[in-house]
Amino acid sequence: MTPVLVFSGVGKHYHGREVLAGLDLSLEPGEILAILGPSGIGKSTLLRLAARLVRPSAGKVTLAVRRIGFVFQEPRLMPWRTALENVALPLLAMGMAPSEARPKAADILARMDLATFSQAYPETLSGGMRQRVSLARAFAVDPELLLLDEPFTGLDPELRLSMRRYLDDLLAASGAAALHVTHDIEDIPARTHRILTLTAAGARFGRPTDLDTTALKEAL
Amino acid sequence: MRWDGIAGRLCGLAALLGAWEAVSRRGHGIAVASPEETFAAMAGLLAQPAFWAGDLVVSVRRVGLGFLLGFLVGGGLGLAAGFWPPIRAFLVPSRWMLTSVPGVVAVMLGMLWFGLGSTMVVAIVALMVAPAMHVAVIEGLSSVDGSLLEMARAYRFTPAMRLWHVYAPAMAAPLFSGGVVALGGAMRVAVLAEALGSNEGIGHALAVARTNLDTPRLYALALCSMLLVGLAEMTLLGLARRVVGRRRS
Repeated sequence: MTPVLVFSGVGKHYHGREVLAGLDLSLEPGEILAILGPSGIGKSTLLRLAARLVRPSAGKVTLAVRRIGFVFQEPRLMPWRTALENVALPLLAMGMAPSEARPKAADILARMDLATFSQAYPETLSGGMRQRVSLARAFAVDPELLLLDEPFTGLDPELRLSMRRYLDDLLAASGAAALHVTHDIEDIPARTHRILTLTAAGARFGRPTDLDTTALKEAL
Repeated sequence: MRWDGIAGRLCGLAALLGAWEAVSRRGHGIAVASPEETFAAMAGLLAQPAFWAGDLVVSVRRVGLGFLLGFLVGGGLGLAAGFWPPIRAFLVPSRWMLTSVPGVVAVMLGMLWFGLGSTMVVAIVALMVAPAMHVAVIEGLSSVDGSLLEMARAYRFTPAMRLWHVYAPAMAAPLFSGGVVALGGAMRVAVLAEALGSNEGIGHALAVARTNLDTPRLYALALCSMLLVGLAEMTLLGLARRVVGRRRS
């Protein structure tokens, strides 16, 4: 199978400061890779490189898919559009007709238990609801690659738990490959295949079963 | 009763009318027409088809055309300046020159360049509006949320979608407020240009009334131009509330 995403010796620096160096990574279709590491180590940069939002300073990023869902740390919803419109817009960007995009957006919102809030504007939704809308937007495009940038940051423990369930269910149903950045081991999706740990010492791949959580918590 | 709303405004209006009436009673009739004389002259003006066709409509058309032209040129250059800093730097001296030139100087130069009549008035209005819209567009572009733009790029929004769904709503508020200010200035400079260099329009009618020492008519014409600006501002602000209200709330 052709990998969804390949990083070959990728490096990135901003204004002379090195954020990533010589990273090699290959993500297979349907594979879920959790990325752990302390703040400022380049986790979010890795996702931006994958989404082609920034260019690598060194190496090459090969993206073999077109449909990408991106969940940011903040919901990043357009305040002047309803929840339904926010979810439907990426579908319109893909060339889908509004008559198809709206029912599809309504369907995914219903799956996130947001059917009654589809016409609500972001300002009237709670933080957890807004992040669910953001998750719905990412899954609405039937992503082949899902990029999750600490999507549960700022949510209280109960909400985090419920968001993890939504994410696990959607990931299982979609079969999308995913890069899930987090600095909290508890947030790692249940179906995670591999874990990439980024530390000042470098990048290290491992299996969730091999995870030494005590050592990792200390490293983070 | 809330004094920070309509009641407060009515009180302010009543105070203005009272002061006007008091000054007109103490002063000379040629210098200050009373409110009663002014409103009577205004009713007379509005009853004349020649005033509508020859003055009011002509002025509105000139201001409208000049505003549109200034909006397009200033807004277009504002977009270019907002996206390309070298263009912004290049346009700073021109913008500074246009914003600092006194209206009367602009009218004098306009008369030399374009002669007398509509072309001169429209061109001067456009030249006065363009820098205001230029600044408003640059301000609007700088207020666009970078994180939303990144989201739009991540989801591969087309340039047209980015413009319509991300840029336009963020730019609406500064554009409308800049437009309201520019419109008031446009009306003032148009009346001045018509008074000095046109044989029709409200400004021309004002000049004729002054020559004939017809003070009530002069006051009525001044009131007309103020009401026109007020009406246009109300229309623009109403539109602004509908467009940007959701975002502000």
